[in-house]
Amino acid sequence: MGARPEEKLRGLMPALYGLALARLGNAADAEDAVQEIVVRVLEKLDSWRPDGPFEHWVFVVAANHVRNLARRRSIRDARPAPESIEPEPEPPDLLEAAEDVDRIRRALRTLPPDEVAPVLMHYVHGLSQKEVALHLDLSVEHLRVRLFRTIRKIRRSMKEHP
Amino acid sequence: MSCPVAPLEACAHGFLDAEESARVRSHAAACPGCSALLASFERERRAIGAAAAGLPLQDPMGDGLFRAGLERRRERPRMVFFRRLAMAAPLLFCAFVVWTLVRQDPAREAAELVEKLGSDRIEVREEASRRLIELGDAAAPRLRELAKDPDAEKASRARNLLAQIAIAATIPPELRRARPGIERRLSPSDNRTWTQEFLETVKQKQTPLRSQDLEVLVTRALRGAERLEELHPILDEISSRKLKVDGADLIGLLDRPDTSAYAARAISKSGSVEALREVIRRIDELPNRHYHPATVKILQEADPSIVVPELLKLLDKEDRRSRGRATWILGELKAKEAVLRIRPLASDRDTELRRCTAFALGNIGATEAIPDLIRLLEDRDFNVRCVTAQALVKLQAVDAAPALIRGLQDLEPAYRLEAARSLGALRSKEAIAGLLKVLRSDPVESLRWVAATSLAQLGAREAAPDIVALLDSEDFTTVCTALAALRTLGAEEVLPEIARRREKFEAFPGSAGPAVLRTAALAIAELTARKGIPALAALLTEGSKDVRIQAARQLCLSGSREGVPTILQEGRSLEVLNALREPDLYKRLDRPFPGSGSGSDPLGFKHLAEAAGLTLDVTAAPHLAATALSASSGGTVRELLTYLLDAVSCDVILSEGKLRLLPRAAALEEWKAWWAEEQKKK
Repeated sequence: MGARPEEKLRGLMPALYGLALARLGNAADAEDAVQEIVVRVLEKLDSWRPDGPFEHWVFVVAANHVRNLARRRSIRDARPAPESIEPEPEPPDLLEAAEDVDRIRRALRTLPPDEVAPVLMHYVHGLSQKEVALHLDLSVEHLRVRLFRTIRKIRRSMKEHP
Repeated sequence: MSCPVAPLEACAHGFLDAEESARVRSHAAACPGCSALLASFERERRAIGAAAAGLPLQDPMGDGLFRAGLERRRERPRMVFFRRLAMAAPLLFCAFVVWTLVRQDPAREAAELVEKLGSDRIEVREEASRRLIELGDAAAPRLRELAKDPDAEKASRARNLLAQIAIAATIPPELRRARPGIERRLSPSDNRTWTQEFLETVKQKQTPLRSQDLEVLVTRALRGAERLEELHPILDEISSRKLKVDGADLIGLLDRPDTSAYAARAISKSGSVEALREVIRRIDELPNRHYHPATVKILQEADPSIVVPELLKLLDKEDRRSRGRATWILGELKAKEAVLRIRPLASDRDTELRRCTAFALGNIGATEAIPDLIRLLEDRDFNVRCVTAQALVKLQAVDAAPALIRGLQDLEPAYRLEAARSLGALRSKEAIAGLLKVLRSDPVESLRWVAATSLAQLGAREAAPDIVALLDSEDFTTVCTALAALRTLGAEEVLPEIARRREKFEAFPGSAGPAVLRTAALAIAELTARKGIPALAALLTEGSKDVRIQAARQLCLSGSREGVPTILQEGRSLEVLNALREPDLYKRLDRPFPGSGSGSDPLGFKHLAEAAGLTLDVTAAPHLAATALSASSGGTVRELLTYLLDAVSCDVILSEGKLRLLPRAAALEEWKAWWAEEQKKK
């Protein structure tokens, strides 16, 4: 039932890259971190216990590694105050073609990987919002603001590129 | 009347906690407009999930990085030995030093270390302190002597070290193994250090700790937490691990709107009786509205033999506010033993107390109090009248109909609305004339559509032309409600009227347009189904996709297979086919699913299959299945599966005694193969 760990890990790359980019702030560090995460995950496969989802375990390993990197490089900025949520949308602003997966995918590809990462971790890989917030070093409220913002961007992008 | 959109959006995207989400869903269940919008947001959420799942592995996000990682791993073995040796050297050195120190007599060593505490060099003092803590009780006698030293600085240092040794003695070995050096990081006087240590410990998921290991830290960690980012995770851990904690600290957090819900959950889960008594004692002192649902939740989950007598004591108090709150909560707890005490309060001169009494009597199911409640329908305060009407519906008090019919002419619109709704729910046929009058001429639009819904519940076909008039409203909710009412009435004669307004429905802005069109399609299909299968089959060639899908669904539900190709080509919800293919197995899904707490259980999905008496085959999203189980435990197997199908891109197939969960694409292929086979047989 299910793919080999290497294949599963390969499918997690966009989210891992986004996670690293969100925490480290630049592409070169993020790429280096993701390569290291691949090495660590494959080396630690023995310590994964299959009583929990493989994806969740990989994100724990990745978040620990990225957290250590961030701490070591002293780039842990002060936690930003949660942004306020944008005004309530009225029906005209709502997603007009909610089922149009291809258009949403196109819109997602225009967003930076660190913005897509929370969407992938929560909506695709099944992490709870609390877990995603923990891995990204955010409060749950802050994460929700970010997710809201990403969803709005998707809607805007679909409106601008029908 | 239009409802706010933000809660629906937040609910669909899972941004609300369970309590808020349940509130929004229960509102949506009663409001067709919100129900359609909620469904639209949920489709959006699923579509985003599906779109994100299919993102291609592009560089620099994907394949290149993965391959580079593999390459790096292949290169690594050559370095491993030297790197490990280099890394191990300081450790071996430290081990040697420690071993040398350990060999000494502890008392003599303690004496030497205490001397070093007076050193001028900070690093010598620090090392001596560290080692003295490690020696623990063996170092205590010397430190106690030093604590009496006339040199204030030395004495203070000794007292500090004694306190740290005392802390170290309370830390379980498992925690010490998981968090080396913890006793040095915890300060006896600064709770903040306990907060930080607790949060770091629970983050460290690779080393699972037992609840009792964390209980050493949690009370002081809670006291030291200053920010919400610290309080929320600590309270979450108390709830999820059922940690025992000082009740007074939790009670204090109930007063804060931003922590009250978390603290309430923690009190319920920690099982602190003192905290429970304190919650009841303070019912009348708590001003903010956030406290109230939190209180109810705590008390509902607690032992009624403790809670109910304490609440009844509050009814003896002079203060009306605490009596009102106690009454309301007794109602929430459905405490039958409280009815005799509560009934007299229906004639109290305090308005709020009468309102609470009406609610409580209805919620408890006190049918003996129906005459008191009917009298309360004439109360001078309209809020009391509204709550009383709701209570009478809960009691199914058909005797209340005449008073409620009089209420349709009340001056207060809120009570007119409640009366109209209640008459529908009570199935009071004698109310039809009054409700028709409201539908035709009440100046408040929301009242007109509530009247339409009630008339539909009463089966008043004569109301159909007036309900059709509501379809011309500019208000999204009014139109959706009118369509739902026509569907309930089964008024197939209005089909041309609905079809004629298609362009008007399309003109609703944003996602409201598609939502109204879907509601209209459902009404068209259900009303056409009353004319028979041929009429329904004719809709399969209709221009609108929504109508085609709904018609196909109705055909399947009617036992006809003509709609199957349409569902396979255009439909999104396939599970309806199960009813057609394996009707006997499908019935088994109505069995209740007992598995509370199964969400965290990896075998939860297996239990689901066992509850249905079927064997299990899962090839998609087992971890999401666990989440779905957790979110809807206590329902039937079919409800759980519906929840699951809403949450993930997969489908459930019942075949040959098996319950199978497949990715949606694989399921679609399977359904198509099955249909082709069916056609061949034909």
